[in-house]
Amino acid sequence: MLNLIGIVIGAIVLAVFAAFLLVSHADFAIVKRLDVVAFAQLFLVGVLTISLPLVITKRLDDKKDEKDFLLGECSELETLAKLINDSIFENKATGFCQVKFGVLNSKFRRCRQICANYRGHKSLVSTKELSREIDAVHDAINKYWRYVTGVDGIKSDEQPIALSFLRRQEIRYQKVLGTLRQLRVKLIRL
Amino acid sequence: MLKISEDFSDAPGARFEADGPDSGEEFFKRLLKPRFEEAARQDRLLLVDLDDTFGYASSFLSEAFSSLEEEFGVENVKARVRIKSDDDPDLIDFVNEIIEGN
Repeated sequence: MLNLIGIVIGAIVLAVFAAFLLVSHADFAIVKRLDVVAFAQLFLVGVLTISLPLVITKRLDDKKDEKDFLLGECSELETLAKLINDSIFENKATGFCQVKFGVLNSKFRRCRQICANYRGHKSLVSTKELSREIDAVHDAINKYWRYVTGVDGIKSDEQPIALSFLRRQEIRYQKVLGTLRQLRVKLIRL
Repeated sequence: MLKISEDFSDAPGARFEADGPDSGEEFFKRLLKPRFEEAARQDRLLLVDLDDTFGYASSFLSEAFSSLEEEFGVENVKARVRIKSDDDPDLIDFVNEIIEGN
C-alpha cells in the first residue's frame, strides 16, 4: 500500500515538474497551447498507466510465491509427522536404540525449525486468522514432541513400546495433521 | 562454555540412566552440575550450547535442568546459566520454563 501511495505522489510531483519545464521552455506550438495543469494531468495518467499494473502484478506474484512456499512447508511437516508416527509403529516390538532415537529427535527438531520459519513469514502473510492457524500447528507439534519424548514416552533402551502409548501418541499425531489441514485450507483461500 | 555435542554426546538420550545411554540424569551428574559449581566458584556465567546434536528428547532437558534448579535454586540458576540454541530456538524458552518450574 505504501508503495502505491509513493508511486502516486512521485508521479504527481514528476508530472507538475515536467509540465512546468515543457510549457516554459518548449517551442512546439501544441505545447504552448496547453496549460500546466492539463499537461500535468496528461503526464500523470501516462505514468500511472504504465507503473500501476507493474506494481500490482509484482505484489500478486510475491504473494503467490510466498503462498507456494508455505504450502510446501506444510507438505514437509506432514511428511515428517508421518515418518515419526510410522517409525514409532515400526519399532513397537523392538523399541528404539540410541541411533534411532537420535533420528526421531532430529525429525522433531526439523518440524520445529519449519514452524519457526512460518513465524518469520507472519508479517508477509499477515492475516489474523492465518496467525492463529500457524500458532495451532506450532502448539500441536510441540505437544506431540513433549509427549513422544517425554517422561512416559520413547526411550533409547530398546524395550517394546506399550500399546497404550501407541494409542495416545496417535491422538497427538492426528491433532498435528488436523491443524496442518486447517492451515492448508486457509493458505489456499488467501 | 558447555557444548553438549562435543563435551557429552551428539545423540543425547532420554531421562534416566536406566532409559538408555547419554541420559539427562547422566548429563546432569557428569557435566552440568560440576560445570555449574565451577562457574559459581569463579563467579562466571555458564553458557550451555545445545547446537549440533541430532536433537533432544524433552525428557532429557527436563531431567537435566530441573535437577539443576532443584539443587541450586531458581534464582541462582537463572542468574548464572545462559542457553544457546541456534538450531532450534524454541528450546531456549523450553529450558527457561523448566528452570522456572513451569
